Amino acid sequence: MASEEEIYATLTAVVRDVLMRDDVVLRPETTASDVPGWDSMAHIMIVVGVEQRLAIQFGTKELEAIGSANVGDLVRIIDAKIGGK
Amino acid sequence: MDGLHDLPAVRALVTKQLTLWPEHAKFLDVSCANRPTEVWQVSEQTADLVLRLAARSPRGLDGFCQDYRFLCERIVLPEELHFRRHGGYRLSSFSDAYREVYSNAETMGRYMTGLLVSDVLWDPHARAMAHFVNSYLPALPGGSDHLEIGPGHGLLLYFAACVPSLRSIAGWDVSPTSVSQTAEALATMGVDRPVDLQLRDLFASSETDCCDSVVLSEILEHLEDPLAALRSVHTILRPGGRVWINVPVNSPAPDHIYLLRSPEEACELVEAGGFQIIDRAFFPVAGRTLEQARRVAASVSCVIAARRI
Repeated sequence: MASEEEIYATLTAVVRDVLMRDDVVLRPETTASDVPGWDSMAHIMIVVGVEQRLAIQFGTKELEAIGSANVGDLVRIIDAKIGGK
Repeated sequence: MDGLHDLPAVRALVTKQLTLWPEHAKFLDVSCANRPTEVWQVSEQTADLVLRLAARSPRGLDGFCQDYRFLCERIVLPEELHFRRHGGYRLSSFSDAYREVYSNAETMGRYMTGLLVSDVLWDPHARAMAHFVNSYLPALPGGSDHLEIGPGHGLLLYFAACVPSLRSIAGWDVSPTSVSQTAEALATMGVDRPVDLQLRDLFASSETDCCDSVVLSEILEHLEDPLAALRSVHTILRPGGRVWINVPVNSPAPDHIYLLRSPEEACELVEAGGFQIIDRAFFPVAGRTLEQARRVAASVSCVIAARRI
């Protein structure tokens, strides 16, 4: 089980790694369109990066929800996934 | 995309695409950000051809742009997800690709039309096209007999047909539907010189030394044994003849069955086919440098011009 803070830290690390930008700061209201380079291809790499780091795999409905989520929503989806795995 | 004022065809295509899919603006901003002038010139010619083809299509430019979105969202992204999760392409046999993709006429039609639009909108595709037009074709000796294997939408054959010093232009494909579609596309684009389109299988060809230039654009990744294809090309080329290859690495698609993991692997494959590389250019997915693309195994279009040894 990871805390919300730990999930933010993991997500931030993955986003920074995928986008190769150390200056990315994620807030709950942040969306992909706010972050340079976070396009649909990067989004998939971020999702799979999170899956690999947390040893989870999102289902189709979760992926659909993640597609339109802001960071706060994404963290909640990850939290629920970890709790339910 | 403020710099498209002098590129009316590109502007028309981009404007239509963003009208139908405004969320794609961010991607297009990056994809259009740093193209050199000589690439834009070819992109403008390509966009003009796309508009001509769309004008003759029952579904019009709206249909073309919808198919481009279909390509991005329904064809590429699910395969990218598989590729990232499992580290390889989902399919590895031609029969599987035939069952899932080639035998589905509607999917194939939308896929091919989407790819046509991508030759303008995707930076690596646009740069590969420009390399063919600006570097490869001008370097061919006058009087060359030119052949493209699997010419598809016919754009590269169109540009070859614009080179008056080439003696002959031909295209081979194994699909009767593809042959007739290429012929129709060339007529619509206004090609006014003979182009010999034949229903022929490269692997079954018994001819030798019959041409001076062969194009294999986005073909090798669709084959179970691309080295055998290169050896067949070697056989049909005259001594000293040239081949222009465009092959993507780390580029998942439902009908990509042969995974090359680096530009170097692509070059080694070409050399193993009996060719000496004379020019190479690697175009990473928009927004990445080549080194960044290598680090995260992102797609790179590898353009290789080589001479038969």
